[in-house]
Amino acid sequence: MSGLWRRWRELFQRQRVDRESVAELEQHVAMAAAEKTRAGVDEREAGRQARPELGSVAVVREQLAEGRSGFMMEQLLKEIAYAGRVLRRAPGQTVLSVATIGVGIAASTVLFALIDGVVLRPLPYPDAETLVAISDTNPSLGLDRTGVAGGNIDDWRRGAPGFDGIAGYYAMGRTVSADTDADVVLTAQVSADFFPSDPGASACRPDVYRGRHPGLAVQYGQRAHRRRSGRDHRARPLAAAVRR
Amino acid sequence: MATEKLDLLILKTLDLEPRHGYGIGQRIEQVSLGVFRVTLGALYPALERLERAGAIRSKWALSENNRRARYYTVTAAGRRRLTTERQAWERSAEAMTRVLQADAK
Repeated sequence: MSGLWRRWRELFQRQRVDRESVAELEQHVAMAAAEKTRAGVDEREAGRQARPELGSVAVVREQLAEGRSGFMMEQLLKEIAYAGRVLRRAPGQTVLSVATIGVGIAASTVLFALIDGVVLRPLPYPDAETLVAISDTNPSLGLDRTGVAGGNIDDWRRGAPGFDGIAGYYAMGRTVSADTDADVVLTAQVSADFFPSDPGASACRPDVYRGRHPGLAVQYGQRAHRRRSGRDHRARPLAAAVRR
Repeated sequence: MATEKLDLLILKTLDLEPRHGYGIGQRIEQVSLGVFRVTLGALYPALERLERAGAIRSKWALSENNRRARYYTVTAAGRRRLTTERQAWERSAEAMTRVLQADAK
């Protein structure tokens, strides 16, 4: 066993190393006793004599285990000190490595935040995982998916008891103008029950949707208005805008 | 016994031939005419230390009495260490002797 192999075993095969030590120590004592027997000492007496002369197997076993963990600690501190020295000696490389790791962490954080917001985090509706998108079809025109007329939604609400509720929206571009300035924002008209009406859930306020759900961004037209005019002179929302 | 002294004794003993722990202790005791008695608590920590440092290596094998025992061998690095430590020991032993034998002048 080379030194490296020995250290690897002390780290990853701790129990086996310990068992081997005990076997080796017991063997040592047995050999000493056998030697005494050969010299004419009674076998039992030889065993009794050998142990105290050599020291206790249990105590030495403890001592060895302590030595191994102490060695590991010492080695760890040495490695840290060594790493520090190497990094100090090559500041350019250190900066490059730190920057690379930083960019890597930032990229994965952003990616995770996106996936978390878009995919993992449910929309703030009760039982959000049961939400489905419904579209109409028009076979005579060969259309699989078409928009739904408002009246149909009312019919579906009445005729589809399997759903807790059906809400509708209609997205379109609108012009928001304030003073002499104007801006086009994507807006949506939504049915009254589009936003869940749980009074306790502040997350259901339409303006909160945006930050938590980049996939379904709801903003008030008022926001664009304020941005344009630089003043907040009308706190009343102009329209609910849905950006998908 | 100081650890460096014991390490040196073990390396020297194993330089002659591979031995198990008990054999190492026996040999040191015999050659030193009973002056050095090696206990378990001194020998085995030293063997582990030397093996970690790569100065010796070990292998389980059958002993002369058909018992499984761990045999230790000196490595090339261990031989180099033996040479330098031996020289250092001899220098300091000579110096010690000179100091102790110096007459008052």
